[in-house]
Amino acid sequence: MVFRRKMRQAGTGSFAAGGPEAQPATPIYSAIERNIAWIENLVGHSADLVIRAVESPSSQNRVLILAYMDGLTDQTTINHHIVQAIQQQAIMGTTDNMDDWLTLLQRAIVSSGSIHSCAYLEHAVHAMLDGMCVIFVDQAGVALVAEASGGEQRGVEEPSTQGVLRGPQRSFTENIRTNASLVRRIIHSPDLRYEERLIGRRTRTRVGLLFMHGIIDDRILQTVRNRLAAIDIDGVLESGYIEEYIQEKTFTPFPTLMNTERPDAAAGALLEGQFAIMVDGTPFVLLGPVTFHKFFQSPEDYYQRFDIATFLRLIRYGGFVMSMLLPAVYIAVTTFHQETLPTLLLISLLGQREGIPLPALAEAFLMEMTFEVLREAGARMPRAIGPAISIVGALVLGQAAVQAGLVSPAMIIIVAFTAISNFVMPQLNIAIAARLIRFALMLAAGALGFFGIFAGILVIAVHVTSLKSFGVPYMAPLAPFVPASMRDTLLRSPLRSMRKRPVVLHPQDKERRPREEE
Amino acid sequence: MKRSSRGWKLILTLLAGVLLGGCWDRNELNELGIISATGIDWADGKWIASSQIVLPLSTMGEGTGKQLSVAPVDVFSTEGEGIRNAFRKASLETTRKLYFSHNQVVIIGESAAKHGFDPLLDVYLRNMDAREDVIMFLTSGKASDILRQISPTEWNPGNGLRKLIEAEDEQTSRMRAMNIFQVISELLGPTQSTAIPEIRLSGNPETLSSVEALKRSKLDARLKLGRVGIVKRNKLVGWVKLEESSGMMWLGNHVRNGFVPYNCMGDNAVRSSSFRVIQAKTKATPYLDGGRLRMKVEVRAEGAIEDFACPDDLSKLDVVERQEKYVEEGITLLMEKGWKALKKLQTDSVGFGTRVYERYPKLWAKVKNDWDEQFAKLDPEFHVAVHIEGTGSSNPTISSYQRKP
Repeated sequence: MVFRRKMRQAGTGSFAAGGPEAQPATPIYSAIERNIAWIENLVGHSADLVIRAVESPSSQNRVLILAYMDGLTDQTTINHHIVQAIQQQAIMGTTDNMDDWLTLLQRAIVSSGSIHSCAYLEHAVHAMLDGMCVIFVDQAGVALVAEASGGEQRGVEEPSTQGVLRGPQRSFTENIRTNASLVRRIIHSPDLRYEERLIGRRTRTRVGLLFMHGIIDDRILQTVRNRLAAIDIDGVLESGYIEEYIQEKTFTPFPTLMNTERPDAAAGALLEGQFAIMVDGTPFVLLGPVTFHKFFQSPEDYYQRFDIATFLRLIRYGGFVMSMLLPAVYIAVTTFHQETLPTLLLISLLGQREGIPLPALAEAFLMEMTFEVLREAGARMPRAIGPAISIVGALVLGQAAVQAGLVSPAMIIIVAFTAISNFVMPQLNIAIAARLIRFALMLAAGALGFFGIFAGILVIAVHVTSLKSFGVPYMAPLAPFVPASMRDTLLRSPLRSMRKRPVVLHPQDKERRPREEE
Repeated sequence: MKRSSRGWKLILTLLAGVLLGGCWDRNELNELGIISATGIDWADGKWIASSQIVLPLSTMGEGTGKQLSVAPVDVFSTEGEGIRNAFRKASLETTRKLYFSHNQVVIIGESAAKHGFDPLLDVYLRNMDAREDVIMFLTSGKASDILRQISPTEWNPGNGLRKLIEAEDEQTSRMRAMNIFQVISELLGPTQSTAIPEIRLSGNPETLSSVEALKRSKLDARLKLGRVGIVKRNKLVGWVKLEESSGMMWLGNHVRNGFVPYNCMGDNAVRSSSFRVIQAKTKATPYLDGGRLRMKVEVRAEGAIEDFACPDDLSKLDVVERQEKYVEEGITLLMEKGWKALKKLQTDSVGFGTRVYERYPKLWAKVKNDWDEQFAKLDPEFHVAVHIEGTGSSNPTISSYQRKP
């Protein structure tokens, strides 16, 4: 009975199931022991909860108890700025007034960075789980929450997935405050706004929205805010969860939000009128709204000269097309349209395919699937065996398969080239789209040859031009054609001639810099 | 739920449609027999069709240098009453589907050419898988003999024949490479006649048909280009020799690069010097000379002297101008020879009739029915203008430097 009452009092059921904005129900008790008992009960007497009683010479026998989670807090802050501050403070004259004393404690004694009071036990527990230190004072109806976050964090390192040859080598980390600060180090403008909210019923993850006030279109901003507010989810583990919830509800392999590990890429996006969404616990920051062409732009394009940047960008487009179409074209040409090949090439291919038992479509599927398996396995290999797998995969499987007469050498070349050209795309999510579409196009080619390929391309083209990302057409500035924004699409024009921000994002501030006096 | 199941139904319908429709013209590569050369003969009222299939087995291998341990082609002949019929009978002998899209040459035996080979042209026009850029050859004797030959420099004989005539056309311009489309165009044109080169086998025909022959460096037999066959309407009417064909090339404005033998002293008996043509243009203009139709042939040629057998000094301008005159005489001689041969055969394969048609359409309507006789009476006059651009790197001949004995 008593136990059940205590549980009800602790409110475990309603507390855990309620969302971050759920109304707290338990005010801070006057009796300090009850507060502590409530907290301990709620966390299930967790072993890393630290309860410490402190006495201050001026506290007049008032009992102060600190509660914090070991590991989430910085021990130095707690030792020096809270415990020591309280223990060593001698105040001239004490007051009996609890409020005055609390104010004194807040303002004059505890020397941690930020401190505020809270009136509900739920808030206190949340603060504790965020890494703050809660100070309970006996007979006070409020508790003080002092900033004491710390603990082991990864430092700022180089980006693991999106490295460049020339450019800053910093990458976001798992701490959202660090990430925000990394962007602030690049954009020192007060127009850089940062709004934070908590998403996830149980994980209570901090999700931050960054944008440039005065550049971003208000409609886009409002759409993002609405979509973020509508998320109702149990836990947010990665920005991918947020991405799935806020993107457009169409069934498409093409990504409508970009992610990046680089602060400079995020800063560039913000300056163009996009927004950035940071999620605590992951270094991958979401950027949106995006168009198809953004996926082929790498930050390095802007750090190198524009001629090499243009050349490399065209290679990326070519690589995308190649990784989608090459196996399909090979199948179509060798099965349906042999008259399009030069005779010498045809006879050479014929010689290669003489002893192969499988038709071209099956052979292509077999090799592509094998390569996908190898690729996936290579991603999970421990570092010690990783290179061995690539040798096993490439040399042994490929070469042996050819010599055994299972596949033709031309097919190996096609598969290898397709796989390599899949890696030229700077963003992984668009490369995934190419991989998936490749199989559909192979089937279309195997059924109907070039006609099937073109039908498939038509379907893809129609689909892609009808996609929108937060209201922005996906294929802009090619479709609808916006000549003003074409300077940064297929080519990278010199920086001086890129005067306007992308029109499709409808920025409020259209020019990057004021027009020179004519 | 409704929205997603409708999508799946659509996908299933499309998939069913694709799979039920059959495979269109899907052919696996190892079901095809790629024909690289075909031949037509006529005997005893039947067409004999020969095909040369490329055998792919010998091409698969370790890298470059295709060693011919096995002959790369297989030839077989079948007969039938129609041409396509004859080809179809080949399915009795072969396991593969005959694939004509890569056919390079078609060789017409003399018997078929004299009988009239328009059924062949009809087959090419009508069928989609037979390309019209196939090169045509005539041969005296049987076409199947030519097809059996293996050439040492080209491992694909059909391709080799094609390259042979194309090189000849481009580099020495003594014969034209005629593909089916050109033949048909000319046979349907105002003159209804054309000229097709001949391929012949010199030497022992048995020698080149086995691979052992290639192991020797000097062959007993060779495939060569020979004469040129003149075709009127659809039959072969006669052969002309190489020089006459050369003249016909000049008459018909077909010379691209070539050479003109001439005599540097002016006496055209021994033509020991040679002039290389870089650019040449012939304009044939018909005109009426008091009611009688005559042709004016104007030639402009530019080139360089490539072989000079006289002790003159080419650095002097008047010497060069004299050489120009001699070259003009050389060209005129060639054209006269060509003209004489055509007159004898009474066939206009150089396009004079087309010029008349273009200039005097009403007159053409009257003379076209007996153009062949009218053509023979044309009596053309030749005006040649040659410009020598260069004389090569050395000037007088070597002997002019040596002491006279």
